[in-house]
Amino acid sequence: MYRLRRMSVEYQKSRASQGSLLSHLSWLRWALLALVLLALALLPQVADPYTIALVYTMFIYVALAQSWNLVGGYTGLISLGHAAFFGLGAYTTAILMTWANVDFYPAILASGLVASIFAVIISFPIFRFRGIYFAIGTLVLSEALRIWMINWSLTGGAQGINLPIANTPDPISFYYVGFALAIIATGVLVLVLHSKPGFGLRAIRDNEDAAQNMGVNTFMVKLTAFAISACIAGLAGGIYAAYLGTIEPYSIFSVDWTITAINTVIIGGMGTLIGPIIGTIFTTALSEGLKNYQTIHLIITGVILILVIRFLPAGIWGQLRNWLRLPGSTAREARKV
Amino acid sequence: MTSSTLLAGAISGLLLGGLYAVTALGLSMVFGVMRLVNIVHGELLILAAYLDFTISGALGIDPLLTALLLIPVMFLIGYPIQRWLLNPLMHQGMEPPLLVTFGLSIIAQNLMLLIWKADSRAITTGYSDVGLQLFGVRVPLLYLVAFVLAFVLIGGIQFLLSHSYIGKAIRAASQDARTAQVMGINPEAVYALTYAIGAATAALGGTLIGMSFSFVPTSGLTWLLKGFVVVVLGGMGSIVGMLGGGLILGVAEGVGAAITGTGYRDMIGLLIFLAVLVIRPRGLFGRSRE
Repeated sequence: MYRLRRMSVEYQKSRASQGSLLSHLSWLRWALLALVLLALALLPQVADPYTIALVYTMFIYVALAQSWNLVGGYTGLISLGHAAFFGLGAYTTAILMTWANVDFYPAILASGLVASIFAVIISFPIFRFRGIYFAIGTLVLSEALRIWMINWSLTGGAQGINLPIANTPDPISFYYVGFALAIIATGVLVLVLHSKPGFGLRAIRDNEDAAQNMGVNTFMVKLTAFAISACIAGLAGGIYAAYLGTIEPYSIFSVDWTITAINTVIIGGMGTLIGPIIGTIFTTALSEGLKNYQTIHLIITGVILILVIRFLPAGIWGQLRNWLRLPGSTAREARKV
Repeated sequence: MTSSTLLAGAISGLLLGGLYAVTALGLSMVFGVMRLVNIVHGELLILAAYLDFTISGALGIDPLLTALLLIPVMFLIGYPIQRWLLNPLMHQGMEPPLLVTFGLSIIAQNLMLLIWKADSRAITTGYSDVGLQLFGVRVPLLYLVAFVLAFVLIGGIQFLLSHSYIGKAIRAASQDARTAQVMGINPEAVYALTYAIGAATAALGGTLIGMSFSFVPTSGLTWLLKGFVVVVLGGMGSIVGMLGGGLILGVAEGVGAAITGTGYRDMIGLLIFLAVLVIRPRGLFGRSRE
């Protein structure tokens, strides 16, 4: 009965949103998108190096957040191990550029590939876990990888690797590489979600057993999402490593990368396309405002994370969308039905 | 590597297993009763270690006695977390409460960083460096103390669960919250109590960590992961199983570190964890329910 009532509410909501002003003006949204992209493309022409570096970092965060969003927000697989993909990507680029003299662009592509392959390999054991077991399993895996990298002399052990400066692009090129990655990460999500496997993803998120009974090949769908997600995180890691010029296992495999991705997605809005972008803007603004108080900044981030989960389960964007009566439903709303 | 280094690893590992069991106890209780993965458990342990470090240092009391003082303190820290933060989210599936404990761990870590700075600390006493001979192997006295205390604490918790009204209420709520509610048990209160007891066990666990190892504000993750391994080895939610899980992990780490070198020590448990879960996704002795 409750379920039926919810469904009728959802239906009325969707009817209402069809009638709302904003959804009629869909061209306005496209125009807005074009304007934002144009502004971002032209930014390096006018901005100072600090701003360029800041926005570049935001691109990397958006990519990482979208990568997590694909599995966490849309597939319902709460990964606590995304640092592993990011770190593997960073190490792949570092190793290829340092020891094999590979150029920057092929090296970061290889980073995405290596992270994907790793995701495929671990998917066989890790997909046996569901829900919280999956969360713990991924956390354990990424920590195991970190300890291995700290001890493995082949990858420079705890010292890490210094990348050759000569082969890396200039900051402006990095800006555009990051820009491209953020667009690709978001675009891939759009593509995946409008494909048949994309519907399978959300079906799995809402009820995995039911999805399987309905003929969704849950393993393949999850694997695809996981591999794509890992690829994006790997690309981000590769670009980050080249930008930084030096990497070491403690920070590059640090759980902090996973924390950043999860914070961003949850605060912005899990299972939405715009959420991770809003989340990145929000967290970056917060960290810029408190940049002289790193520890307090993280405490406040934790508090905000908890407040959002408790009082704003759809995230900033999800809530905003409800107020503006835009169509679409987030992970949490879908599950309540 | 000789057989004597292997034996040394095995014996000190076995004794250390008691400490592992204690540090995993709270994690196991919270998981067993609420099906909640308490990510902040590692930070609760390290917080207790810091509190013990500061209090025993300032007052000049023995750290193990200070741990007794810390039991109510940790209880009072744990209770409101479940009562007001986690309980309202318990009906929303497993992920929201998990993510809240994740947020709490970020907060706790950075609060400790703010208060105690990033310097590595250790709780030292007059008997910190005392060793004794066991089967021809020299082991720290502290490991033996931890081993004995583990049996006492786990026995005590097991007794509490099986013989007291509170314990029976906790077990009832963990088996079937709805039926327990019909029987007049308030699951929300039971959950808060369970969480608080779990946090209270961290008083002893954290003190033992602080006395046996050095720690920094970010050490929580290491101990959380060790806790996961123990919980999975010992059976999810089983109290006495924690002893078994702790001892297996201790011996595996001791022997493994003797073979591979100490750098890989922390990785051994994690690999065991993954192997066990791949073979038995519900844990080695786990009950077959979600």
